[in-house]
Amino acid sequence: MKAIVAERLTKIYSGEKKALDNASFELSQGEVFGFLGPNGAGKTTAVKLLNGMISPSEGSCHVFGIDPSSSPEKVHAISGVVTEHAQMYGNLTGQENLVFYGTLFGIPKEESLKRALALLERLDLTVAKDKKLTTYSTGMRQRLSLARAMIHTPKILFLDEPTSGLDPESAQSVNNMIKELASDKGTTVFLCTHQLRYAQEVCSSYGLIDDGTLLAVGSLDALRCRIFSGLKVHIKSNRFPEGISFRKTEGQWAEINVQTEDEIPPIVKRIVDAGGNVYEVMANRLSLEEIYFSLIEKRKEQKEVR
Amino acid sequence: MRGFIAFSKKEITENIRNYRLLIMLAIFLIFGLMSPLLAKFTPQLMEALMPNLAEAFENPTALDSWTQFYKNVSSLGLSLTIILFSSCLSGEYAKGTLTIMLTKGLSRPAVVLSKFSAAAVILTVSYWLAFGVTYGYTAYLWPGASLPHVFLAAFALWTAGLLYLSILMLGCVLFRQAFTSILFLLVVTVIMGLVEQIEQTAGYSPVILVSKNIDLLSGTVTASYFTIPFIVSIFTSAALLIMSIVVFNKKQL
Ligand SMILES: Nc1ncnc2c1ncn2[C@@H]1O[C@H](COP(=O)(O)OP(=O)(O)OP(=O)(O)O)[C@@H](O)[C@H]1O
Ligand SMILES: [Mg+2]
Repeated sequence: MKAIVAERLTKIYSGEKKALDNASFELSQGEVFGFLGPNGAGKTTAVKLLNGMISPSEGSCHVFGIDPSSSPEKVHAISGVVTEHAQMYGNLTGQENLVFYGTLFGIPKEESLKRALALLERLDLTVAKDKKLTTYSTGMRQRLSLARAMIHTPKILFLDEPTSGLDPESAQSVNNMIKELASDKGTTVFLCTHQLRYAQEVCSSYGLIDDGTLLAVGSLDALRCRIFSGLKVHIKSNRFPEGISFRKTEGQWAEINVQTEDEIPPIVKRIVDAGGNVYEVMANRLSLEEIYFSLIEKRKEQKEVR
Repeated sequence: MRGFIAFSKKEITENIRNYRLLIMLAIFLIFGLMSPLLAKFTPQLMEALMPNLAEAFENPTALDSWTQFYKNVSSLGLSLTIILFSSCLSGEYAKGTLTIMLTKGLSRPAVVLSKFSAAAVILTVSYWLAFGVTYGYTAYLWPGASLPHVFLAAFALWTAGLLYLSILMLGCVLFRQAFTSILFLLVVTVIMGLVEQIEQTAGYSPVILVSKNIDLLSGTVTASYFTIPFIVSIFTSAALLIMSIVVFNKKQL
């Protein structure tokens, strides 16, 4: 069964602007789906729709076959959510907060405690577990709300910018955890983020959204195909022969696009044959960041034409 | 039910942490101790301060002790309770803590009932503590004094306390600000006071439960005088709680 199926999902908040416009996509179980887009693109709106916090204006969505707008409680039983403004109780300690949510979800007290301690350990909060939440820093709160989202071991996690308030080290450990959850437990993760580098490390597929419109969905390779599937080769040399279309960048660097790796050695050979010294050669596929910017750029151009 | 229990436990823990429980216990304990003491030593105080008026205060009795008790608890005690618990929902509204739980399947009636129960339990414990202390201390200072309906009078005020809490609950559910909930309670109290003022309806007002306790002890009114206000109070409390649940079910958070 598909983890998420969205069909022509549309949300119009009171007013005429479409926060989400005809978005269709599917997620398989165990996938880590990166939902990427600028501020106001409609990411949080999608999360809310998939959780039944709001109802779609048109179209439909299903989470493990359940319609969140008609039976939200069934979706919540199998899902965990971290939203941007998730709050917990300041007067309770980190551990008490977790145990409270655990028992609220129907997990027996001892089991809740066991899970809470394991999660606190995993999210590096063990030292702070008996401190009141009011003394937690933003990043600690963020990690605690992640722990809360996982206390009932959900089949699917919705994470709305889970690493936004975190230092690089914590962000890294959260990302590792997400990867582990997906690979070991088969948890499906719906991850909204702006941090494209982290997304590329963690996600197995992506959805790019701007202004409510889904621009592209698919794996990194599938997305590359839409822009440029080859390699971008950076070469540092003191001399570039005529006849090859190098683009000079900075200092002694130049770049050139090729379709396959096999094209690189002949290029280097031509430089050397022409009497140039080759100091460095780097070949990269398009990064998520580059794909993101070129898709957003394309869309802007389309809009201007219209 | 599961949600109710988990949420109620959280309420009690929070009330301990934010010192509400402690403040309530301390204040009511002080009332419990002060009432008999004040009654006992008022004559000496008066003699020292205003010798010419002192005669009127001679020979205090157990009834004076209870007069002090009902005066303190029904005015200061209940006001304090209301002020302390007026913020029980506004904090959750402001911080947005309820949204996630409600979307997670915690039932809305469970929230309202837990909030009310926690407040009611704390009031009950504090109140009967004060009563017990005054009772014991009065018996010690005025040995052998026996008054009718000591428990009934105390029970009446307790019932009224719960009624005030349920009015406050509706206020908290209706309005986002703690201050507005208190205002709402004041308006309702004024209305109940008016009901007591009008001759035809005087016997029905729950205000009797907080204003006539001493008359019951002194024998000025009979126990049966309390029956109707008591029943009215119970039913009103229940109705208010149901209304709170209905309103809260419809509330946008
Ligand atoms: N409750 C609401 N009422 C009206 N408009 C809303 C509401 N919530 C969001 N919007 C609008 O819908 C659009 C999409 O908002 P959304 O919160 O989904 O963006 P986002 O992608 O999560 O942005 P960010 O990266 O800033 O979190 C925005 O134009 C926003 O103004
Ligand atoms: Mg958002």
